[in-house]
Amino acid sequence: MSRATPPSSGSMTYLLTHLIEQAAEVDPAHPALRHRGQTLTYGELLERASALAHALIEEGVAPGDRVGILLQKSFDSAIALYGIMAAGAVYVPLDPGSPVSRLAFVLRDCGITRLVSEERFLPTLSALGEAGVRIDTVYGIDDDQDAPFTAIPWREVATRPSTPPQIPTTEQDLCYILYTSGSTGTPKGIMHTHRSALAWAEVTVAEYGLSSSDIISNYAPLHFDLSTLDYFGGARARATTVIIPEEYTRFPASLASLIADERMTVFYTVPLALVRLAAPGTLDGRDLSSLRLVLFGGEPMPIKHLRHMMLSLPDAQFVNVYGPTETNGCTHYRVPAVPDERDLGLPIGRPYPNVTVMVVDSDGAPVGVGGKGELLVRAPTLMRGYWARPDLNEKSLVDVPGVGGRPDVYHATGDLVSPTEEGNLAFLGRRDRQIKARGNRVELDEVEAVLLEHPLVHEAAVYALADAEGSLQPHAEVILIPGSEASVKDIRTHAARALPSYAVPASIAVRDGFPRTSTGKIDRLRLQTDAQAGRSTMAGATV
Amino acid sequence: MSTQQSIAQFISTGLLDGGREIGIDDEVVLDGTIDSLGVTRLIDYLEKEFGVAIAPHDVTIENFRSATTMAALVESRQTAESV
Repeated sequence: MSRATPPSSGSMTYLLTHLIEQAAEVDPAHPALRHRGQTLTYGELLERASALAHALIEEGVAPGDRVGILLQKSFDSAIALYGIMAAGAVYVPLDPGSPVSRLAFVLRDCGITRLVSEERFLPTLSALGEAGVRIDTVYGIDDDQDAPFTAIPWREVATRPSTPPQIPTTEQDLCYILYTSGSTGTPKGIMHTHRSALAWAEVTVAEYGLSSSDIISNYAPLHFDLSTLDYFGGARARATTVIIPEEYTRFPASLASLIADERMTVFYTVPLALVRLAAPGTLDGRDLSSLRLVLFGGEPMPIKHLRHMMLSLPDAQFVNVYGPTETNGCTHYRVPAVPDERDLGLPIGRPYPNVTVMVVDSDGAPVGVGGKGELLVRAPTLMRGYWARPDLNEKSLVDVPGVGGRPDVYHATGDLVSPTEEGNLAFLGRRDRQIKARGNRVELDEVEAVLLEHPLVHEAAVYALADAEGSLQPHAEVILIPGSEASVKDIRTHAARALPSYAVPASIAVRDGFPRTSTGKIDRLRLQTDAQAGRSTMAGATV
Repeated sequence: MSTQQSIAQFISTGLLDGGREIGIDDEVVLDGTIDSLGVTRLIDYLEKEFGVAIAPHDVTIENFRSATTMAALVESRQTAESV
């Protein structure tokens, strides 16, 4: 696969903001973004982002400052991220669905006092103020409010110059920080530089042949790293990115219509979106033949739903993309054919060019074909580190002796993988999703995969609980295919046929739905803590 | 009680635990009042309460925008089934 030639750049450095500058220079009228039937061209995007950058600088934003984005996905949120970077600052997308205490943590953690937001989040902003968080300036809100901060509305921003300010940013400077939940529940800020983010944009354009004729989905919210492909891969290719409104994630039939109406060619999403689209009947009457590429990542894709989607879209290439937020994408697996329904899971495939992977056992020794170990990754797309967390950096960024004994920095992903004979990596699960049940090692993700094989199980979540003797046991909750009635006994019999007895869930509960994280993943931690506390937030029968 | 009012009442008491009054034209999906589990429960309620089958391709933003649009969906299914 040939790599794309980097575009010519006026300066020695090459920044994320140059992507839209170049696109606006080559073809200013080309649609950069689509949202609710409206179009924003590259020329307009550059002008509006530049104006915001000038407005930020006027209020004292200095290179390296963190600026928050508290917005629903829209043109404004895209303008905000480019405008913040054009001011030499670092954008920090906030999840509007987060509790105020978590938002307050993030703002304090990286010292955010300026935000781009909108009227609908005024109650959140005032709750943050009441929680003692200092907020100086909020862009995108009308100034006739009795607010304890300076409010600068978009109409005022629009009076600022529409050409990019000259800022001495280099490609080694930070461009964004994405906060993810740590395993302890404390959010950690993952810092990326223009260089690491651009390296990922380059990879996606080269590997997937993204071009200006592509129409790319933006399904993920900005605080989820999938969005960086949608925006920066898209802008690098001078493609059009369709910002999918949040409510479409709850209505798969409407999502299917939107894909069809916008003639999307590339759809990048979490498995959940495909699981929902794959529910029987959802795609009826929708023509999704414009899709040439379906990328999915974030968690394992259930085989049965992938089969359904691949049979429904025979001309699209399906690709399993693997990579923690810390590294961006590091490996991928182009699904060669509709998988067998008995397959337990998809491999995560092979590293992208320029990515080096190692699989090591608990002693740090390399693991060969068929062995199991933790995946270490070295890549130009690797983060700089965690914001203000030297303890985490030390644990997760490890030195490995390289050529000539010079140490190379690898990211210890915490993911367990196994090299296969075909040269792929098989994904086994999170290291912290591996438990010892009565002394036996159990991969909770493997138990989930087995449950999903049952023809009437639509989704499954497995977590560990300590029994009366303090030994961990897997417990399962499942959602059935709509309208079907499987018995728990039947599902248990199915699991017992495929799993050793210690790995068969101690309980299986049938649910109507699962609690989800804001990125669409099943919130297994909440299922587990609810079960521990002996309460259930979900209606349903437990047997 | 009309179909619209019954649906609005179910949203208010069945989904939101009586936490909020819901008007028949309140845009409950656009403003995020109804999450994806709520959508599942709404479908279940509409099917059982009004004896209609709601096909997955009918579960759209347009049909679930408000109690009024949901009532129109229910009525169109009832008509379709009685023909």
